[in-house]
Amino acid sequence: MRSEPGFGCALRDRWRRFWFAPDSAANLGFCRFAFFALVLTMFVTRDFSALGALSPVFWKPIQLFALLGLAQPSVGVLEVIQTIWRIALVASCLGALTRVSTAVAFVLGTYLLGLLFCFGGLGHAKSILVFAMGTLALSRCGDSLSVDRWIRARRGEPAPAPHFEYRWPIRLIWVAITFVFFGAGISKLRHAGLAWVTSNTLAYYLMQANYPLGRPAAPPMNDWGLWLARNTLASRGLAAGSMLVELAFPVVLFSRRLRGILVAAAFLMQAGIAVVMGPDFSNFLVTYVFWIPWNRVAERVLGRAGHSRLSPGPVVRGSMLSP
Amino acid sequence: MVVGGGIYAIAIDAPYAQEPWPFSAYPMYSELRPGRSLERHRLFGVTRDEPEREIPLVDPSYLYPLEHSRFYFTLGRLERRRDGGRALETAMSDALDRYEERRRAGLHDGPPLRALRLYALRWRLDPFARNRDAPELRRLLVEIASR
Repeated sequence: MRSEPGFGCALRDRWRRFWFAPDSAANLGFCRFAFFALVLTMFVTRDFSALGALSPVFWKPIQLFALLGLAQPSVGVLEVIQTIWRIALVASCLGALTRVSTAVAFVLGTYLLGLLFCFGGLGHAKSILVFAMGTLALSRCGDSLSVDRWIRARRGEPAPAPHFEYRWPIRLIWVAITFVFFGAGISKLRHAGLAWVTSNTLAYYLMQANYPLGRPAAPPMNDWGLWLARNTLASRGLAAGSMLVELAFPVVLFSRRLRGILVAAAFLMQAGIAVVMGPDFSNFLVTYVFWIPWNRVAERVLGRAGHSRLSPGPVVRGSMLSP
Repeated sequence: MVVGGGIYAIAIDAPYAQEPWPFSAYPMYSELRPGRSLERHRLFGVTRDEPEREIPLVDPSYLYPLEHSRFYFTLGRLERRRDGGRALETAMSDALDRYEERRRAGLHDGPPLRALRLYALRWRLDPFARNRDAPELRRLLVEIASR
């Protein structure tokens, strides 16, 4: 006689499905394409080599650099590294020699982005790019919508069927993103407690952003923050909403229904902060491509559900709406 | 590794300078701000024309390649160093040299500068930001001249 599967079994099954249910290669392939295209757009004109000319007095390596014994590089070395990185980003975007190009993009990207913080401060919006690049480097993101796939198709190899290899990378990036929001929420609770909501702390930050010599980040897009700061109900409501979104964000990993709501709320929160307070989240916003089920979007747009070229094999729920 | 590093970073919640980057507890804007006092140390460039003018060095093109927040974060760190005075002057001289080099190369449209001054500024935040350009305290900390 067989007993009903227990809670432990159900949990294990859910865990397995979360990470390893078969998924579409096209979805991961499009995420790869969109992510690297956006990263390239943001950094193609960024000249890291000028950091090599800064006085050594500015140099204070972050833990990772200190651990690896990396010293301040010269302008020439940085010019070479950033050129190779840009080529790797282009190749990763196109899916050319994807395993190699994404690995190079990850290693050099981690170096260049980390280097920025060896001269002071930390860029929290940039660290998520490192996790995303690292995850893609370890994945089979070049199996679809890529030059590599095109070459394989010319050799007569069939299109890849849905497989767990196309699912876990996106899920891992979701987990990394979740840590960002949840960490920010915990940090507020730890440093300020609920007073972060019930005091005028957010009003303070909103006012500070409107002082050109006093703000810690880029200027806001307008002075709406001052109106919000004057309106206690609005500023405390926004503070409560922000904290709620951050602390509740891990739910996106478990609830298909709340995933869309929380991800949209987080996006609006970050866009809103940029508008009224100034901090630039453009680096972080790039990672929202991983929340969108591109294969299903393509099917709807092309009106070819079940026959889309983006979805070889059976249609598998890919992202935002799947468990 | 992602999960372990994430939990570790949140657990230790280290100050910015000691964060195990790329892991972080993401503590930005988490400090409680009970009052309305805002204090900052900011650089001003002293123009070469007469009468001299002071222009604030907050424009990203003036501080390049360091971003505004990164530059002032580092300046604060140097001020707190034991040899703060000398390190700070070296950093300010470097900033002035780069400003002038980039100005001569036409990479920004700031005026020629003959010196840099570091001021401590303090405001009482106003909900209409009417005093944004008029801090209630403006104290000179360090001045360096062009080499």
